[in-house]
Amino acid sequence: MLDIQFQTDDLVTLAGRFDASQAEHAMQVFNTIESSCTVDFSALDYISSAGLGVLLKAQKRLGESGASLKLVNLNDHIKDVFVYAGFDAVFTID
Amino acid sequence: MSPKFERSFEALDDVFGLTDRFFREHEIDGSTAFALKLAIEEIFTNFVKYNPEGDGGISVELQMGDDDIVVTLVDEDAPEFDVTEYDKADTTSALDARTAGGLGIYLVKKMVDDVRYHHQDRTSTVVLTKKLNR
Repeated sequence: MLDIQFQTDDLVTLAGRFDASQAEHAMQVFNTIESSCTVDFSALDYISSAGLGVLLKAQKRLGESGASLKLVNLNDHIKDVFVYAGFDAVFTID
Repeated sequence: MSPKFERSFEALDDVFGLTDRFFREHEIDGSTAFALKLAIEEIFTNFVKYNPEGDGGISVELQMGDDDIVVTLVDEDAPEFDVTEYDKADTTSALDARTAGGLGIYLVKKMVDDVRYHHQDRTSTVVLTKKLNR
């Protein structure tokens, strides 16, 4: 299960597992973001390429208007996946 | 008999139920568990994506070795199609040119030590091997 919550207009928290079964719903939620936003991964345990694809599409769409997603509090395993995928070059990761 | 799962992304909950029980039972470290979960999901979802009309489910079996874990995923009604060949991911382009195509299998090959595909009698089999951190 993946839980996505807007804490404020510019802070989203993710919790649980961001896998292929959650990608379609997550895409709908991320499509509602219209300006720069921080995504807090502190309660996210897992992500696969399906989750990465959702985040990449959102980042590209926001980039067209000069906005972006900033990703924070990634666990070490998830951080490794971002580095392997070269996503550390297209996202600000804190 | 290997556990068999419905041919759909929604079956991932059950697949991860199986993997998490196995990792708890064998006290597998978090890094190995994460890598195997990702590799299993990527192969399972590729089987679903590229053979949605196949008959029956997809089986997933984990076996504990002395110094590795071997995972076998089997689709018993599939044309020959080696999903493990699709590993050409773009990891370097600028954001506006970047796509996520091929990323799944690319990550599988980063996460596990060996990936093998075999097809015979309409049965596609992928075997993943991950050495243990001991």
